Amino acid sequence: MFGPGPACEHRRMEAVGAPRFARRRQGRWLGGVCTGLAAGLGLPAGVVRAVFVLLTLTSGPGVLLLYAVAWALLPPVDPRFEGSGGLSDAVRGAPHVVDALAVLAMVVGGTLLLSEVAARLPRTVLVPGILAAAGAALVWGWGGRASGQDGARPLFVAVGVSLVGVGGLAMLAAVGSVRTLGRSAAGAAVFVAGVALMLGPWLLRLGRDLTEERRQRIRSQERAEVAAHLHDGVLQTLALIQKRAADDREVRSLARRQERELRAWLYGGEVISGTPPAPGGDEPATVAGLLRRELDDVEDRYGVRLEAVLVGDAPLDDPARALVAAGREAAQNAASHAGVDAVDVYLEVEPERISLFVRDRGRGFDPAAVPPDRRGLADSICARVRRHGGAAHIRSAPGEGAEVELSVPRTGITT
Amino acid sequence: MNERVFVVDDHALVRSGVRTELAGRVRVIGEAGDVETAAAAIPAADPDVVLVDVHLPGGGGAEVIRRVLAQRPSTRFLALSVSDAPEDVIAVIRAGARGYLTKSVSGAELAEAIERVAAGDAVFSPRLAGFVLDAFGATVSVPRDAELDQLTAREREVLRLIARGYAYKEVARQLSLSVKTVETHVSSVLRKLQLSSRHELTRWAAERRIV
Repeated sequence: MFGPGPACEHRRMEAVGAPRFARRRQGRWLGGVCTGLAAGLGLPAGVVRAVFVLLTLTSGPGVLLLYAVAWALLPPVDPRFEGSGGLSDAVRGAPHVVDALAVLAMVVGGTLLLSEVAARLPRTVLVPGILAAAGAALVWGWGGRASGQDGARPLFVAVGVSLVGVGGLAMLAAVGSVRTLGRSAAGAAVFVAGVALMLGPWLLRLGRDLTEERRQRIRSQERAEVAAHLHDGVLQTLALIQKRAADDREVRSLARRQERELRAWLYGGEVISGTPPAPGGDEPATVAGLLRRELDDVEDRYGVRLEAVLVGDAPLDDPARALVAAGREAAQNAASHAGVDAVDVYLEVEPERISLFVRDRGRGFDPAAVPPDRRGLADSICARVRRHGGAAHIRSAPGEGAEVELSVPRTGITT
Repeated sequence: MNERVFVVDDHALVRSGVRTELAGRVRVIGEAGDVETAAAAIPAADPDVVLVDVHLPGGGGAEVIRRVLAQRPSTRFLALSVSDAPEDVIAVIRAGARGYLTKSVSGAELAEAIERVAAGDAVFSPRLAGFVLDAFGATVSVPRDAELDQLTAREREVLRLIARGYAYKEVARQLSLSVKTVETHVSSVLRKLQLSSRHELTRWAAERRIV
């Protein structure tokens, strides 16, 4: 739904990091080591095999040991890259002379060294040593690989672990003469070394996987949040609008409410707006916050757009509450009587007072001609702010719109 | 009354909407959907006023204004946006726009604003006036350049009335001034907004993400 999924991404990363040297199944004779080396170096497999055979003939079993180590260390090639057009063919196109020399030097040097060591060490030490080395190689070779033949990994790791264990124990037994140093110390050292060897690659891989997984999780959470919001808010509103297309006022009010919510969500109203609180929810802590909430409510009820400009803010006190309540009343009056679709509201918080203006360009009225029994204007607007030491002025004339000006002094705030 | 207008907005729907609203009032001579196209096309099209959206792919409206002004300093811009975030408003104004309106304005209001900008005056919506009052009002610290960093009492009065929803004509009547004088005050406020070195202005805009 939202671009490539996790699987695709994973695959791409792997392709980029595909190893150049890998054991190959295609055309192999034994473990695919020679074929793999040849592919990695861009040489014919025959040449590499000839070198190995030659070395075996001259240096004896050391080279076989080397072959085993190489087999354990080289990862098996990814089947996706095998065959025509794969990675190997691209690599084979250009022989890497330096690499070839390096590998050759390693092979020859390793063979010579191992032959020499094999000749000097007593067999009781050599055999277990080889076993332990092969085991460690197996664990390193298989344990640190993040993907691929997951089924085979536990088996190879287990074999490697047992080889390390058996080899280490046998070596300890063989060098019995150093028992005076303390068998337990040596045993502990071997044990720790073995554990470090075995767990090292596994921990590395675990760390890598965790980071990757965390990244994926954060992204999918964000995606889910956007999707949920779009679905819950915007799509539902659009559906409602289509259903009530005939009701002008309802459609306007729906669209306006959705616009407000989306804005609050997108631009994250920290100071003032925020998501509209549920009716009867906690009272906002500031004048601007409370006024905005009241105006939103009036907009929803009357389907009239209230263009609010708020300058400054202050903590709520009783006069401020009275001011906002009177302002709400004025906005409602304008929305229901003026016959306009937009009303301007302006709030300014100054050091010594708070002013609120509600203005419409509607049909207007003669303030002197309002009958005394229409108490709304007098009671809920003017008297309310006057009770708190404030002032209220109503300016209007028929055909010229109306403006209600309210202000209350700021009390109790000594900063 | 027949201004040549160029429209820059990345939404084709908005461009055609503006065209429709302005039909018969001004002449729309061209449009562009991103910064590159706009910067290349505007100097050649030679418009009286460019209507520019704040958010555009490739750097935003401020970038269009900067690039075009570098080639053709006489170009006049009016920013038009759905975004009311103060930092966006302040950014386009400081880049050189002569006014800022939200996209909810009527066609008649928009045409009037275009005329005003074409004549070299400034256009302040109630919201922009509120932003300016807020930005210049909060701090009482000693400004570095008194002429540029502070509003005069008269400018303040004018802005306050605009923020209350008064048109320039109504402001003039209320304060017993000529419309020309009101325009002069607003242009002077625009100049301060663009040239003031008050770093509070930018910080204020960043802090107050009112929607």
